[in-house]
Amino acid sequence: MVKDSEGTLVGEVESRLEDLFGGGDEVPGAGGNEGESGEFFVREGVGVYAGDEKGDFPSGEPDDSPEFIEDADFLDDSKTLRYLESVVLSIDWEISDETMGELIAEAERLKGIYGHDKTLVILFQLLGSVGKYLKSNKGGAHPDSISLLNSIYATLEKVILSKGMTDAERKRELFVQVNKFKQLKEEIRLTKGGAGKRRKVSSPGIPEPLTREVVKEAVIEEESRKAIREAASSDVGHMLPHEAFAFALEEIKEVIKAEFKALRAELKLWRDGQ
Amino acid sequence: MSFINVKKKLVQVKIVYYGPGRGGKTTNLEYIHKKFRERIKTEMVAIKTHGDRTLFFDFLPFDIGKIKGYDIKIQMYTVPGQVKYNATRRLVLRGVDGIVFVADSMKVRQEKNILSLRNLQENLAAYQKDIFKIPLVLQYNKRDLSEQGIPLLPVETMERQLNSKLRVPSFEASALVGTNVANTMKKIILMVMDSLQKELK
Repeated sequence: MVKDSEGTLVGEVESRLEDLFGGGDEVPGAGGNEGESGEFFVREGVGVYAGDEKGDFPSGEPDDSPEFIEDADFLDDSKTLRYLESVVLSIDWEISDETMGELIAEAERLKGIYGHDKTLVILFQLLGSVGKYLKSNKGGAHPDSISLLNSIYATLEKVILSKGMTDAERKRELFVQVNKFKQLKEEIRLTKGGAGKRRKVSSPGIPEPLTREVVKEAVIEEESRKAIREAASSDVGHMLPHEAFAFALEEIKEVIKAEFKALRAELKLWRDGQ
Repeated sequence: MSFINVKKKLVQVKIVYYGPGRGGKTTNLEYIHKKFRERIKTEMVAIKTHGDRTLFFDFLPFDIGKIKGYDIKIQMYTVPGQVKYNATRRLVLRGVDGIVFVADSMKVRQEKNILSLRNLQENLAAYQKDIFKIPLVLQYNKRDLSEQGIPLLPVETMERQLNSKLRVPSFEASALVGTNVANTMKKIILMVMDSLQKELK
């Protein structure tokens, strides 16, 4: 294209660009992913594509596409997780109903496959919950929700693929993710908090509607607490002192929370009776 | 189409670096700015988030001087690659003359490259532009990462996944090191000028 344009506008631009940017590119040094010739490839295309058979675009499918894993051996954990991994990775680029639907469905499917493993079931539930939150809030979602999604996925991968992991270590990983999940929930609540609080003051006595999502989150929390409690009782002997302390602290917090909840309910009953 | 002011003898060309987040679009512009600052005498504008990600866009304008009596001004932009900024990406594409698609060579990013290219096609369509017709160059960035043992996609795979239908020029590059950064840029400018020349005929 360019060589044919000597003496034309393009030819002159080329020579000007050479003056300005000539010798600017680094020559690949030792190493680098070089071609057999030892140089980086530069492929000349045909310029603007003029064919009529454009077909599906881009034509390529990633090697981890669902079509690819259809043949996968589902007993192989790394293959089982491949599709979920590609969906999680694609979310970083675009949150669409389609992608989020795929994530939620895949989390649900894997939850079934790993139904015998409580830690994994809770992790898949967490993943599904964050997925649902992202699906309904999309661009307006809390910025940390995507990193939490990635973090839950990374933990899932670690727990599933690390064969030598002890039960205590697995529960510890779960504990970290559950805490992150709770922290994010709290942050979201605080972001929406101002308006919510005002509404409560203006209409005392009206119970907060318990949506399906809230119930589900409560179930996840309850299950994770249960798992953590179980872990604490069965594995406390294997824990490091600071981990045992953290579990104990979590237990105390739960007791205090439950006490406060009961007190609040008592107060509400008392107020309603006035 | 490029902005051409016949009265003022001015041609303004807009080139956008597009691609998945953290693929190296800003690094391309930063390299050009750093390496050729003395020659192109210009400043780069970058608006970044707290985490050093592109918030709106990066902007690097420069003149290549008078050619056939016309002042040629090149304006290079990047788009933000993050999830929530599709509206910004679309906005930056308004009036684009040429695109450099910066693909991430890391194996784990292959899905993102494909999604991003599809996203480019959709966003161009919003301006009645056809990805098969607009001047486009593919850059397979981060080739240097193999040195650190990071698994990269073979170039043949990337060609098959991204370029088998487009069949546009492609470069293996390392924006961080500077390999093929200027060549990519020169190629897209030449393709735009070639397309401009054809349109004016």
